Amino acid sequence: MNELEISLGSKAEETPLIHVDHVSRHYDDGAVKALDDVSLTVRRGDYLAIMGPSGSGKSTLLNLLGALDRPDTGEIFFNGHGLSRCHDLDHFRAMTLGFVFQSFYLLPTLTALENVQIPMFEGPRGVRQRVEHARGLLELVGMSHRSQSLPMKLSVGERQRVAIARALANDPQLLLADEPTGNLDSKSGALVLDLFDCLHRERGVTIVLITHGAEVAARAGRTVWICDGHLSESPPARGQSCG
Amino acid sequence: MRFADVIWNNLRQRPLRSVLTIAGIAFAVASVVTLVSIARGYVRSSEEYYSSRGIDIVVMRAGVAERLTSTLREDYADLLKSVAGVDDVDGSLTEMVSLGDGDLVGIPLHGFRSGGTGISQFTVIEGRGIEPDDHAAVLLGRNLATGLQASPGQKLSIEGTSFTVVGVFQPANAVEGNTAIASLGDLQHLMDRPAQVSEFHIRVKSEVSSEHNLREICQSIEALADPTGQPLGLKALPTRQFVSGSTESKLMTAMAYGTSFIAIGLSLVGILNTVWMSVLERTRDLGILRALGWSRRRVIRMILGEAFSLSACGALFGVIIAKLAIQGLSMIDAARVFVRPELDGLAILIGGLSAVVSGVLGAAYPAWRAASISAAGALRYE
Ligand SMILES: Nc1ncnc2c1ncn2[C@@H]1O[C@H](COP(=O)(O)OP(=O)(O)O)[C@@H](O)[C@H]1O
Ligand SMILES: [Mg+2]
Repeated sequence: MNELEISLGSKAEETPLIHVDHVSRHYDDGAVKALDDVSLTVRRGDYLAIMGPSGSGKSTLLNLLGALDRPDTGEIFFNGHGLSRCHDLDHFRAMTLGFVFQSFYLLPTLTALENVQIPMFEGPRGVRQRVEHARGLLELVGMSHRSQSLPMKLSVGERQRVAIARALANDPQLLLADEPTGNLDSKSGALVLDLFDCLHRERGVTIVLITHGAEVAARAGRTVWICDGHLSESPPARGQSCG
Repeated sequence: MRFADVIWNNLRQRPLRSVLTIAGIAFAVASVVTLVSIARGYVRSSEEYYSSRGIDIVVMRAGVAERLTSTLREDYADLLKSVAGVDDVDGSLTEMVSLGDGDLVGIPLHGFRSGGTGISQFTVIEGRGIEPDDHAAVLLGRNLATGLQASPGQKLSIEGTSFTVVGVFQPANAVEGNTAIASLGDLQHLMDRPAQVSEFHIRVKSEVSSEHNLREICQSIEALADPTGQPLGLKALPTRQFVSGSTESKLMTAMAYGTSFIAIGLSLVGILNTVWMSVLERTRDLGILRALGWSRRRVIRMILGEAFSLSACGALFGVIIAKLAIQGLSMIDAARVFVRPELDGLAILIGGLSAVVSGVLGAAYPAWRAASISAAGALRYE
């Protein structure tokens, strides 16, 4: 991509936010092919659900998208730039991505308000701005009344909402969620999904979400399936085993 | 939330461990500060002992490094006086004696020649000084007099012989405050060392000003020979060199630094253990931080910050403990002879710096390991 294309706007919009180009990821010296020659394109503003049985490679794919791991072969492009060429993936993660995990991964010794501020240390905000921004985010997820609570004192649904506030700390371009409702009851799960809907609709955040549940995937604009490390755009036929 | 708050939060989570680590470092620092203070204080006191009397050169028997084992003939004084540049020669004998009914032992008793320069240089604050026609008279340093509850006119048994306390003198320092003074003749008689001294104190003429000239005089003294051409075997040193080169000074300094080294090694291992454990326990949390985009450098800074806080607190408390320890020691009869009741500035600096340096060194490896935790790996086992 050259400078001209960016300035032309219309063409720049065609540059996908993410392009996964023939990516493979093997473990245990190739014995486990967690991902095998996977290609995928996600455009800015997409809401994509990834479905698949346990152990099919969903988290592996999400870790690659989130620059937590590197592919063995192939390349992942973010805004047209290859991640393998990026020399500061930490900074990239901090400033462009937001993570939401199945087990929340809040820091147990910090309050909700403090947890939300953690990613901001890598950003430009000063102490006061960090606190203010974190308050705003907690309000956005409806958790401002529990800002001083430790994660232990919160219900699982509340924890996930705090985790979502934290994921938004540096105004990410992409939200990556790995089974965000997997540990939640249906009611708080629905609350979390409503929140995703709202972020997608009103803030234009691009979302890639992993899920087991069809009703969760139904909220997304588009769904892809992974089976045994292979990705397909259509669901596996009924009764047919994976792959 | 400040970065420092994150560090503080981590330390606060395991209060007992943090406190114990701080205590360990504090005791290490305390031992460093106390021992180095004592050693340096001892050297300084000795220096003051001589310099406050205007002594420029100390002459001893060659081959011995301590006053106590140095033996010289008293009549060498005449030969010394003939050396160019020498103004005054004063022989002195020092013995460690026991006082009273053996309740105080190892008290330095200095014998000075009656009518000489040395014996007249004490500032008497009670009673009077030792006069030439006194017999079995003793002058006590103030601290010693207080400890013995002795006042002028009272009898005092020294090595089993009865002496009369004639006065109390104002010491130049804590060490001197615990010494006693007698006439050279009395001490020679008491210790059965007739016509012997352990050292000569030399004051040079006022025109001798440079260190260089002092050394020339020392050389001339060392070259002295008796009428038969036999060398006298003298060792002459400018005061400062004499003090820092004495076996006692060297021994105390070596012991102080040696013990300090061990103490600091122990605190380094303590920090390493504490930080290492806390990194292992927090593998998942550290993985989360890395996943959220914290750089390796920030993780390292956090871990080193924790270690630095622990060791800085340890250093602070260590200095406080040292202050108390040295005050306590200076109140014990057996120790106060050589313990100045004050902390040495350099000792505090050495103690504090070594705590902080050992803290950061001890935490370096755990911090590096913490920064190497892979986010994907740490978050997988759940
Ligand atoms: N770090 C790893 N080392 C070895 N095998 C792994 C590792 N991570 C994932 N795998 C394996 O890769 C496959 C896909 O895992 P994962 O992506 O976690 O599946 P999913 O998230 O779809 O349940 C599984 O067989 C899993 O055991
Ligand atoms: Mg998974």
